[in-house]
Amino acid sequence: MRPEDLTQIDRRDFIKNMAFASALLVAKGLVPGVLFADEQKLKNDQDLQWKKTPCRFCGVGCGLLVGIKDGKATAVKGDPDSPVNKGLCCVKGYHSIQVLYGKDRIKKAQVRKNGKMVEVPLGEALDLVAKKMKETIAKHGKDAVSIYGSGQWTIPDGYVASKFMKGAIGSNNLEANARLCMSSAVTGFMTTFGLDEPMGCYEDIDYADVFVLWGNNMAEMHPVLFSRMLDRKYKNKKVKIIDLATRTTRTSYAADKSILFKPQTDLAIANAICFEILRNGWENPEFIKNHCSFKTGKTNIGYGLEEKFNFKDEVKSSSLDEYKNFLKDYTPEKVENISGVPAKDIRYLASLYGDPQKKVTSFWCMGMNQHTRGTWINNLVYNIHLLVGKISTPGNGPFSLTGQPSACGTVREVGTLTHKLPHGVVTNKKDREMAAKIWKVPESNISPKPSHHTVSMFRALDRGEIKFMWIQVTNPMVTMPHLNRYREAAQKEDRFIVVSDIYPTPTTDIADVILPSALWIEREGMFGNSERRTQHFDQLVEPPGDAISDAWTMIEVAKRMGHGELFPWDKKNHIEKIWEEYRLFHAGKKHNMAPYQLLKERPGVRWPFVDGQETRWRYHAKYDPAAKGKGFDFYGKPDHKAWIFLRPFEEMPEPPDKDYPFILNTGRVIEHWHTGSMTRRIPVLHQAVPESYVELHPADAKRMMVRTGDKIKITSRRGSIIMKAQVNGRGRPQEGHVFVPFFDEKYLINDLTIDAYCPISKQPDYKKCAIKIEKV
Amino acid sequence: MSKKTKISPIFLGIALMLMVSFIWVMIKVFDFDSHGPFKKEVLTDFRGIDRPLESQAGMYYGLKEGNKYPETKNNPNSKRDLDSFYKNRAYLGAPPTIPHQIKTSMNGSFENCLHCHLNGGFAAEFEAYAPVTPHPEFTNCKQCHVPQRTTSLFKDINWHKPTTAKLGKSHLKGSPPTIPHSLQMRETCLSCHSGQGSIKAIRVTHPERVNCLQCHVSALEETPWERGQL
Repeated sequence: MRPEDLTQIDRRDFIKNMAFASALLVAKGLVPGVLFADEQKLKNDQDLQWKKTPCRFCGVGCGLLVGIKDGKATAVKGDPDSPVNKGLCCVKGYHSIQVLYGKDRIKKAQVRKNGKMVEVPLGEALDLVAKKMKETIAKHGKDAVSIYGSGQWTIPDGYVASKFMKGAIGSNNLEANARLCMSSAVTGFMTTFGLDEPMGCYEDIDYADVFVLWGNNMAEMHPVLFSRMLDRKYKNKKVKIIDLATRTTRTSYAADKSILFKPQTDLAIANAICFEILRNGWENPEFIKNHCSFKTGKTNIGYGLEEKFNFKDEVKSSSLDEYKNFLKDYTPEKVENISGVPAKDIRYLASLYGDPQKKVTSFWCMGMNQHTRGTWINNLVYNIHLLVGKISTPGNGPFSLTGQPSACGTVREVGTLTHKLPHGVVTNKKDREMAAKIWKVPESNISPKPSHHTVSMFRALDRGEIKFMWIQVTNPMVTMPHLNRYREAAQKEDRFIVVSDIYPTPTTDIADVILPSALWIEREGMFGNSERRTQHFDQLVEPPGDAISDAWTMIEVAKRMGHGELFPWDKKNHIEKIWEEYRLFHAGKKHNMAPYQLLKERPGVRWPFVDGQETRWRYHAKYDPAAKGKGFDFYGKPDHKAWIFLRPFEEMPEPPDKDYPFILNTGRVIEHWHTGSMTRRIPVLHQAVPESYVELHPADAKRMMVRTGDKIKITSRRGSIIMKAQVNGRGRPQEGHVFVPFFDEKYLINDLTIDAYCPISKQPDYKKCAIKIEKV
Repeated sequence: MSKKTKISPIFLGIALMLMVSFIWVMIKVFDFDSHGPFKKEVLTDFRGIDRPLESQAGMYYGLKEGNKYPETKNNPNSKRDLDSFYKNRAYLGAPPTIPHQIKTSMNGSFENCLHCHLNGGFAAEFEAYAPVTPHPEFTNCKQCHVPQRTTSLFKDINWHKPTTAKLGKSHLKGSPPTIPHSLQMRETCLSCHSGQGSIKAIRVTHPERVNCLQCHVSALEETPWERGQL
């Protein structure tokens, strides 16, 4: 029966309908709230216990409630009290607990003996790791050992790694895979504002009138925030979502407008929007005068492809007039030629940003960060918000989303990167002194010179300068760009690779020692999400076999190397002790973290946590106790101003040419997370997307006479791969482009990608390299 | 006399206007095409979202059919049973997978699902009545519901589906059975417990009573997360 049948209802039926409808109204009023409370009182017995945790997967950081029964995790629901997701999850979150129970979990330590991996007692493996580290340091120096971690490390894991490498061993060879995913966002924040991480929070979604998504397929990658945005749109019909991207995705279809541009030309588009704003006088002159200064940096900065590439930016002062002059190269008409975006669409975007009646939030993630000019494009989007003064207030803000559950919490805040310390950088004497004092080590222990960023670290492993690498919670033998080079590097004679992980992966395949890790709720820890929210989780289930947390593994190795006095905690309370020690680094109004007990109780707390209050919008005196005066105060910079950078458009490192006429873009699908080592073991997710594929534009497919399922050979200057085509699937690349999800270890697409990186952030670009394709 | 003739046209004018407006109101009231009276007053839910009339489709089929409703209990064409219900869920409360063929097209997520699963009704393509979603306000359906393109596994898993909910549990003999599942995301009882797309074993015999929670209360065998001071 269809709704139109209702038109035939007679009068008597109508009165009945009305009666039911009003009854319905009453029911609807009764359902939420009131009766939920009774739910708790009417339980029969208590065998299913619900406990809180943040989700294990992406950087949104949804609050979950996990149902524990007979010592096993058996069910998940969204935590209705979590302000992040308000009770909603995505398919990965709902099934996340199944990742604990794959049959091939690594339960015992393994050591390579005569070329074969042999199970050994954990103590023996830890002895070997400590011995190898000590030997390598004695023979080749402390910079011959390295730890490569992850944005999936908990905060205590990262803190122990930093104290171990930088405080005890005295090497800056500590990196994390967040270099491959977030470092352009960091350098973007640092160059423009002087302090890392977003000024706003997720509540911006509930206030904004316009959302501009810069190369961000939020419907698949940050689905819970995307649903929150759709909710905002349904409640307020005037709300607009603009999808500005290089590929048509689910997000494009939900958006009010989809604008496609040529890869790399987002630089030109951002400048053109600024040109249009200034040409029309839509800027906020008072805000610019009081809160912005203009700067230039080096141009023609290269792509990091040379073996020992080195770059240091030189920042010089500029002015509004010079800026206006600089923007003359970026009229909408000129940029139409560069980007392929019609000038009227650029003007439309400028009008949205420029309309004083509209609150605008920009979102981005990998599209802008995995970019050989990643720092620049981050700067340029800030420029737009700064020109019109739409920043640091509810609904107004540039918002950089993260990909990993604790890329912010662990890698960025604890600072598990070569140049970082838990507070500040290694090059700053004051920061070193602070670390030395809290860690109780001599200041001379902490090396003042950054050593290797991620790509450089793997290159050093290849050259033989690094002999020992300990990889934790990440799968670089699937994710490194120009992968074949680094796979060979890791397998060379006299390289010693230790891998801490939960399942066999292509990275454990190249390991000399495999250590079993406790995963997520099998140990206690904290994650920090995109909106500066720190979330605590208790140990809820027992880890399998000999598995222990990475933090405790490193403490055990440190003890065996004679650094035990730096880690004087027992296993029972070490997380609390670590947290209270780590908090000392961030004391003060600009970054104060919440105390341990509070984190245990609340569904996460956003820093700066000052006088019992979370800070929702930084750099505005109304919301941020660290800001001085009455309005905006960009206290990250010495001049208390945000810096508008004059960053030009520069070409991609490997534009398509006659031999390699196509562009390869890589990324994710909603079902799989990163390299799929977890999500592929979850039946629902694997069965939804069992293998990777290459997406083609229908016109290219027609020309090549290719249909979905046909095999395609993709070749770049670095490697080639054969995989199945998908045409008119869930995404559609532009003509001349292809898209490949990277989760499938059977199809190592990163053998083809280029290891060019942003010279400022050192983050590689996975989104564009030249390839050719042929049907096989 | 003259006074009377003077007033009469004004009076008539007003009466005429009243009559016209009365007719207009009546037309509006009976104007079912636009669902006029429903849309504005009744169906704005607690989230402030205008919920389309049809989200309570199960109940409205019942209304259309009047007291023929119980017949739907014996819908011989219904392919859904409790086994198939549990089969496409990892646990009770997990989002079900999509058990039928779907087009792989990109926009499938935002509108196409709701074409059938908002209203229910007969889908000739599958020769079945479509189940109705209890939460039509969420439109990025594939955020949680995914198709299944293979039955194989990447690696084996130690996962035993938790025991299923017991049906018909009453505290006293003959008292209304309790609700054996969480109501989160499933607040609209009738979308699953009535209508042709629903599962026979859990269909309610008296959907016209609507205010389900008046008699049926939650009885969950579980300990909720006790949060400290918020």
